[in-house]
Amino acid sequence: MYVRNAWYVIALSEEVTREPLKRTALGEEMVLFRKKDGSIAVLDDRCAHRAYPLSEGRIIGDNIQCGYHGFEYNCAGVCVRVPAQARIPERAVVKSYPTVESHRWVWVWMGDPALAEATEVPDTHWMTDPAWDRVTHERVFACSADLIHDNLLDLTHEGFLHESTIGDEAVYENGVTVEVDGNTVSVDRWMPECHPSPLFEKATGMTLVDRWHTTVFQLPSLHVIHAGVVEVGGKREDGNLLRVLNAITPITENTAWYFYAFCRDFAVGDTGLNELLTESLGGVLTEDSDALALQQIRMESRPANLPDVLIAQDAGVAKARRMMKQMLAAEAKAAAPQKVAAP
Amino acid sequence: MRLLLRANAHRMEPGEGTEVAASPDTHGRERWQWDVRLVPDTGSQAPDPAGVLVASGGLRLGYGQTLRVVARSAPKAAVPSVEIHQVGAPTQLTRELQEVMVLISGGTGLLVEGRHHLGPLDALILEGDDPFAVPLEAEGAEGTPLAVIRLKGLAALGWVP
Repeated sequence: MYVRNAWYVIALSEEVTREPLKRTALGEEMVLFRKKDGSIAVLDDRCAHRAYPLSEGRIIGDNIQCGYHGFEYNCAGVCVRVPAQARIPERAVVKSYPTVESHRWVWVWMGDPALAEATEVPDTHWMTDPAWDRVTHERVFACSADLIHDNLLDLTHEGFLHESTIGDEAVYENGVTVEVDGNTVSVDRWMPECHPSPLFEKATGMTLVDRWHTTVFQLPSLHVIHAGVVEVGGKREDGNLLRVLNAITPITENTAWYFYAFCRDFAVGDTGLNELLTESLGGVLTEDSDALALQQIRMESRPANLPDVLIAQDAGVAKARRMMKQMLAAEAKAAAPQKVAAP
Repeated sequence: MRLLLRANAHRMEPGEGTEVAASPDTHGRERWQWDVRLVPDTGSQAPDPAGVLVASGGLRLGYGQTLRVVARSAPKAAVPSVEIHQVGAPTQLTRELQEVMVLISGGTGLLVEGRHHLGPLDALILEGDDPFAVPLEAEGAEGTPLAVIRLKGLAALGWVP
């Protein structure tokens, strides 16, 4: 079960070229390619003729040609050429997906296309803003998207899973304020008069700071962590600021894309720092990926009568789970056939 | 762990008003402890359900309507109470050990702890290690009605059981 009426990141901009790119999201196989004008088309990766993957074919102009029998589809998914006959069957159509390219990420809409236009793609301008620098990663996690959401909403795990890089005792020793506003859950943690995380200390040279992180989860896919450090007693806006973007796209029920960007407003253009952050944060993601894969295995073998034992720090997790269920229920209700009253 | 619930996040429950907060938050997973709801103030109160402690108060909103704030609890978990305040100048509320406190603003501007801005029907829940003295003040000149719901736990009580 997935929330479908939402934008999901499916690729980095630079991954989509004039060659077909296959991707799976929400259990659906898609093919992406770039048109002559630079915009992006996303189609169902299955030829209507004999179900051969279109991603095995080739791009001709703004069309994609199936590599098996040459059926050719335009960007709307309509077959425009059948090499073996003049007549084009009416049902020779594949699904096309609304797509937006925004700040180096490619977003796809997996639900009712009529709803896509009215829904804005989330703001990720830190990916291209010249006042910010960033490092990015892209991973496939061997766990459900839900486990990644839980991970990001309860950052106390940083003190244990990532103690050599971004975590320490300050994270779990300071409480959080959880806010629920519409379809957004935010978890704010203020950590006064403490050491910065080991990685931040290495990056900034600061040793005693006020620090914070606020995970803002825009259900169902994007977490933006607003984080930073400032000299003790300073204001957040005067500190060294981070925006950590985490776009989570389910592939199947137990695998997920993880698109990650660590954006900073200090030491912009420092290539040495970029290299340090790329390597260190790649290690952090590997620690998360390994841990969540193990957690997924244990969850699948866990008896149904042993649900999670949540604690106060899990308030954001609990709220987000419940909201996700409500979104799923609302979509199911909207999609259910309307009952017609008997005359 | 403070929990700030904006009015647009409250859950409409057909026939049962609007659920502002509950523990457990996910129904059916854990033993039910307490909940706080807003229901229309009809002047007549429904009989209290058997085996449940109930307290309520009328919260008059800024635009004249009155809603009934209803707090319910399992007798083995907590004892509920509801107070209605009119907040103007800076003041302070206190919370006891093992007490969950739910604040529901009836007006347009209430500032809690100098940083949490509560609009109409926004709710702030304090529990556990959260502060036991809570400063608050109205942001406008006219003052703000406020419902203060206390759930006095018979043992440690929280939002997440």
